[in-house]
Amino acid sequence: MKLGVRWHHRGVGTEAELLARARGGDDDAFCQLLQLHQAQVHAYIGRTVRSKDIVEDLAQETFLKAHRHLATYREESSLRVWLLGIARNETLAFLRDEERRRARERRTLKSALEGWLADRARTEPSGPAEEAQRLSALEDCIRGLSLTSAALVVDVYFKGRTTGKIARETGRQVGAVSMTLLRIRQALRRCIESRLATVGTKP
Amino acid sequence: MSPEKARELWSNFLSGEPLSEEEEAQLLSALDADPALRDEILDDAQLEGSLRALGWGRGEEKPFARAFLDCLEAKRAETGFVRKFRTRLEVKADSRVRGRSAHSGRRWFRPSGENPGGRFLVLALVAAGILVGLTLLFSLSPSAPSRQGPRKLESVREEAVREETVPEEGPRKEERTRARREAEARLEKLRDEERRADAARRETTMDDLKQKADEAFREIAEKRKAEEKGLAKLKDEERKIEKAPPTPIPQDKPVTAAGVAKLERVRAEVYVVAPSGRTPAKEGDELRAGQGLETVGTRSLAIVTYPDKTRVEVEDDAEVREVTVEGGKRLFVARGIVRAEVARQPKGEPMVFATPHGDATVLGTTLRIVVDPDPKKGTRLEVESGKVEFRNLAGKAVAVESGHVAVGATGIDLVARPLRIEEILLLPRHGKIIGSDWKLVPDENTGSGEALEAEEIRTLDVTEARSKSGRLGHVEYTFYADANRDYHVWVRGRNVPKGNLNPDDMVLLRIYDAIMIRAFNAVWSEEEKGPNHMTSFNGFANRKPYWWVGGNADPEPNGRVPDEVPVRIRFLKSGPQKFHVFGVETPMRIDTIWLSTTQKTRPDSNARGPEGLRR
Repeated sequence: MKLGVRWHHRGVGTEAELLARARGGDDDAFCQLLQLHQAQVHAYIGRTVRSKDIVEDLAQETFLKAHRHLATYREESSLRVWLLGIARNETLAFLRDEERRRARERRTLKSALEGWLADRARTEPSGPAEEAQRLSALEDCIRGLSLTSAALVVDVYFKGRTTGKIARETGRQVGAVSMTLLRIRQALRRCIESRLATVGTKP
Repeated sequence: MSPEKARELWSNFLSGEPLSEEEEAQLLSALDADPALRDEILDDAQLEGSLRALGWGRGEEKPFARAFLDCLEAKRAETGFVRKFRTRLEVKADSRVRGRSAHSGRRWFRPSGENPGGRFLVLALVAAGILVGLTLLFSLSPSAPSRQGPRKLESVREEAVREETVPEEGPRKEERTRARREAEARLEKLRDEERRADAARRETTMDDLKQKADEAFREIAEKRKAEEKGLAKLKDEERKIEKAPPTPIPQDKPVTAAGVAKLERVRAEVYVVAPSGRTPAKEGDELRAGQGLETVGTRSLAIVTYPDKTRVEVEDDAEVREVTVEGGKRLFVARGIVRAEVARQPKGEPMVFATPHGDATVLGTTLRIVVDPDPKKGTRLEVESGKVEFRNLAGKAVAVESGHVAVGATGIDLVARPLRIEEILLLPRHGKIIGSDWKLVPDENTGSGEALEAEEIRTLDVTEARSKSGRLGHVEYTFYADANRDYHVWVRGRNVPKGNLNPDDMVLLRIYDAIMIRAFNAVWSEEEKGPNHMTSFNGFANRKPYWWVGGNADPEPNGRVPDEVPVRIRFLKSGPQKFHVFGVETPMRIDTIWLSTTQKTRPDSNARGPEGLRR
């Protein structure tokens, strides 16, 4: 059974129409564009930054920059790719600041993880276009999950329920729920790999 | 550790399950040792991060879009403000009415007691009236000195040893002026009351209470109108007296003024310095002509007031010499930071701040002077409002206007340039305490040695606090800030255990004429955006004794602390701003409120604020 996840939001017009209106100074149109792409921008930043607040912050900066520089967008790539390019720059700038802070702190698993993710973000060869494809593949792969797995993904990632709570409700051990999630993510990575095989990007 | 065990620990870690220190260390060492395992874990971390963020991006589209629209609105408001300001500058290039400034220095707070916004016109008219009166008085008075411009330091030194003589003013005028000032003070108070009553009636939803609140508001409004009429009458009478020929002043009967200024406040080690030596200063002491002040140690402070309400704050480790008033107020700042609010000075008698690197000549303004003994760093003059002439030792002068800074130092061109407010530090003494909920107490754990304490045991719901805010005691901070800049707000505070069952540790911040880009437990005004929002600062009890909270610092079950990114606000206009702080879960204490454009992550608990502003 497929999961009925609505990925895109209703808009008054097509992306091209909204873009034309936004370029004419229509902020509502820009907001509709924002609603079309914000989930992917969040997801792209979330790949490297683990704090929700900082992800939101960087996403907002991304859209503010996009709004300010809309006139410079030449439509050589899709709007999403352009936005992800801005998000990448914002994220890298943030990581540079964070690196200085991290250097002063005691090394923990969390800080080590942040450091490794930052290294990856800086050295990753894939550009925004590949990232956009990866996110589309992720969406498709979630749709292809079994009902049980999809329900768990929705519960944890979209509804924000903790594994502890889910474990209590289902009578399972917390560790067992966490390991199930790990296996679902492994399956999703394999699915994304196979979808991106033609372009050779890494999930 | 086996890869399977590492994956198990990793999955627990991602789920927010706490790992023991030993487990965490083992996992970390396994990941360090095995690059393949680390790559696998990082792939998983990236995917997991994307999944979570996808959820945030989906589930919060409205708040996100609203915050974004707020940002756009702030940009538009700023654009409009700048345009209007420029137009005004062109039309009234020479206007120096207090409170007009568009930009100001790095740390611009206004000592409380003045409402910076709404009474602009009234203040301007009053100031203009007084200026006209004083101009007439001094141009007609035979004893009025006519000397213009700054005097040489040497001449001040010579004059400093002489006793000050001031002409006696006509008792009739004095009486009227006193009456007018008292009326102004009453009117000020009524306007405050009226504002609070208006806020209370708007916030009251229950019919019977609303009726009472409406009645209270009407009653205060009527009193205010009556007071305004009375004040207008007093001003008329005062003007008539000023236009009449001055009462002849007997030249052979000068009045000797022993003190030229008063020490309103003394904190820590402060000395009155005279040619005969230095003596410890006490609050209420009078400074005689030629005397000076020295503050010693990081917590020292002296606040000097003159009879015309000019106020000079001598901050820590500073030295001020040769305070005189004859022919215009004058003092020599040898080193340290001095901040001054200078009342409008009589024509031809500007107030002069002399420093080893030059003289700042002031007719009426708010400014800050930082004097570094290093001649290469020299004297930095920041002008908040008004206009100051700054002349260096080479004789070159520059006019420093509102929101501008100039540095007089060896090897630096003397030019005025715009100043951007990047950091604002609001200390306990900058807050005006309204009502009886808060008080200023000594506290060794704060940078200034003082804290604001709300001692009553109280727990209010945030919404309830908002509805009661018109009647709750609070602390008012007024300060200067730029529009169209994001200020991250950090509050340094602590919980004060007094036998209460729960750790009470929350304050509510009401901001005016600003939007909140990020808020916690926000209570929006009716229109959901606009001039009046509240946001909470919670979780001060989670570290002891003091720490910086940027919003909600209570950890979530997964260990995440929500205020990792703090409250962020953007003012709709540059210039004077206002905050109100209410105690919601008390008893607790507040040390410093720090608005920063750069401090995006939680400061160290012992941090006192940015260098150069630390007090």
